[in-house]
Amino acid sequence: MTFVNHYPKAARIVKANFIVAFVALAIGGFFGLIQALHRTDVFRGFVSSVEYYDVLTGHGVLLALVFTTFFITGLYQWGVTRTMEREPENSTFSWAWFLMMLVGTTMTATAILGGLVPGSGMSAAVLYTFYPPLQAHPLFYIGAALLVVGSWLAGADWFWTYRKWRTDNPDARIPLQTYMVIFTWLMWYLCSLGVALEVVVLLIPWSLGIVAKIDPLLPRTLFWYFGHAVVYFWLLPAYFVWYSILPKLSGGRLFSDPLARIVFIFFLLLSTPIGYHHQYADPGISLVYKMWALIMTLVILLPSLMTAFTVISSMEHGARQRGGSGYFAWMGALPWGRPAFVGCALAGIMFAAGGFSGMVNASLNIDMLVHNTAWIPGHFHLTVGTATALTFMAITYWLLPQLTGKELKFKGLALAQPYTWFIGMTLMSNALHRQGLAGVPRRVSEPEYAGINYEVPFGTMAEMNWQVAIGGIILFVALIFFLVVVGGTFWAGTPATNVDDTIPPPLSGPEHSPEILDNLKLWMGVAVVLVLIAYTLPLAEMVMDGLFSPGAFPSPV
Amino acid sequence: MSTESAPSEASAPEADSERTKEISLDEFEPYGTLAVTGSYFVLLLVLYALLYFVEFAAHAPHIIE
Repeated sequence: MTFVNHYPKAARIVKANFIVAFVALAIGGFFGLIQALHRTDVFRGFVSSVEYYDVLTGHGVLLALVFTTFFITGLYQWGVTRTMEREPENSTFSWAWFLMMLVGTTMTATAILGGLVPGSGMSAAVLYTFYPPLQAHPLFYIGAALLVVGSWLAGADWFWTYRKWRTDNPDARIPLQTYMVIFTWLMWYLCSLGVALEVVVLLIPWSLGIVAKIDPLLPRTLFWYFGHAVVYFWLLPAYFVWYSILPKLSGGRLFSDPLARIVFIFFLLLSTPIGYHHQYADPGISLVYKMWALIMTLVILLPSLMTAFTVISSMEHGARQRGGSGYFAWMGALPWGRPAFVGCALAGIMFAAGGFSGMVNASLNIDMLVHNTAWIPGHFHLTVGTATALTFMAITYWLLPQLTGKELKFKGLALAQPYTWFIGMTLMSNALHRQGLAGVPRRVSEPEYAGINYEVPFGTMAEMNWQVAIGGIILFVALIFFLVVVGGTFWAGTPATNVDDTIPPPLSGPEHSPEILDNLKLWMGVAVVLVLIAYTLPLAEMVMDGLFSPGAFPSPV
Repeated sequence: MSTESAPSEASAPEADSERTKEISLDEFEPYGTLAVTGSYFVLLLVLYALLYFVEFAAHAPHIIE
């Protein structure tokens, strides 16, 4: 008896979310392969260099927004259901938010793919950041708005379950997994308000032709108000896995439940007021606010370093229980033959490397060295592209038997997949970082220019291009491995007899921490105050000109 | 299915069967974690210094003579 037997309604919702996530992952991943070959000039036969931007938008939106959101809603539905020990309060409501997200995704994807169909009259080559003056078909924005609103309703569903649970358990501490879900979603409500305002108030009227011109800075600022916090929207579910499941997969127990709670509070407070660090090169934002963002960004390194300590110590606990010893040799005692563990652990190692390049991005001065270069995709393929994506894929191997009641198929392929992904990403990401240092721009389809010779710090351009192309191919192969394992388990898995689904209690539990950590109103209140401090004056200054003024026409006109 | 319950040998066969001992909070000395996180911290400092002094400061705007 496992999750699907205890909570069949919730299991169906989780599976539906995962299926949409994996379809988006398949299409978006294929687009990534096209990009890796096209940009490096290894093969430019899939699409033209103009259509490249439709593919680039599809890659970004389908992976960074659709795959992540659907996987997260599925994962969190699982976590809330199992720790609250309740089915969703109303299945119709749960399916309503899922369908709203699905309809929104279909609209947005249609607008993007329309750009690849001659005569469709649709185009949305606006990249995943989608701020003006690039303009998409209205369907793109309306679909994106539905996706976000659907995710808000998913959160409402879990708060509903939590309220019911609280009525039955007035004095109990919030179970850790539900605690993490709640704090992620409080952060999500706070930050996604920015992108919702941007899309509904500014971009939809503009794309419908109701207003002709738009102020480029205001929607851009509203996007980045959301755009850095969304990074933590991707990352916190990976932390959810690393804190609550990875210690068990390592053979140990979570070192400290209170530390996990403090980390999630930090992210609620600090994720949103730091968006300006994506706008270091923007005129129109005061240096004072850029400095504020710099300081807050360096402070937000703290909860990630606390996570490194807690997660590594939990893994060490597992390794020592498995007979490991020494300062470094204990790592050899970890279960490197279990796909779910391997994926999470390799994702963590990649995230540590991404932490370094993130520190460079966050620095007001050194950022100028890498701003808008290939360094940036090099960085976020380590964070969202591996820390998040590989963790999600890996934990799927552990969750699928619980959700389907079936044994995982093709376990050898499942074990090879995270190692393959790790090798592919090592090749691609190191080369992208180094290309960025040489000044190679990000985003463009043909980054070679007549008369320009990039000054490469070490290595050669040809070598880096080959690493990007070969890395991209290896990553695509890893993606195929994953899809085969998941598809095989769904459709051809044999019934499981003994599903591994328990999570041992932490070494140090919530009883070792003050109850104020569970005070949702307090922490949400502080988060709102920090946002008001960071954003009131700059936004007021931009709005005082008029919402659409000073205006620019769509580009390209 | 249990909620963050004590480990069950019956339902968690793979991981638990490879466990050789139980280590409590008081017995656990995470000096391996200290070694790994300390090494990572040193690596961060070295890489950051490399980026700052070699890649950034050495290429800062300067007067061409």
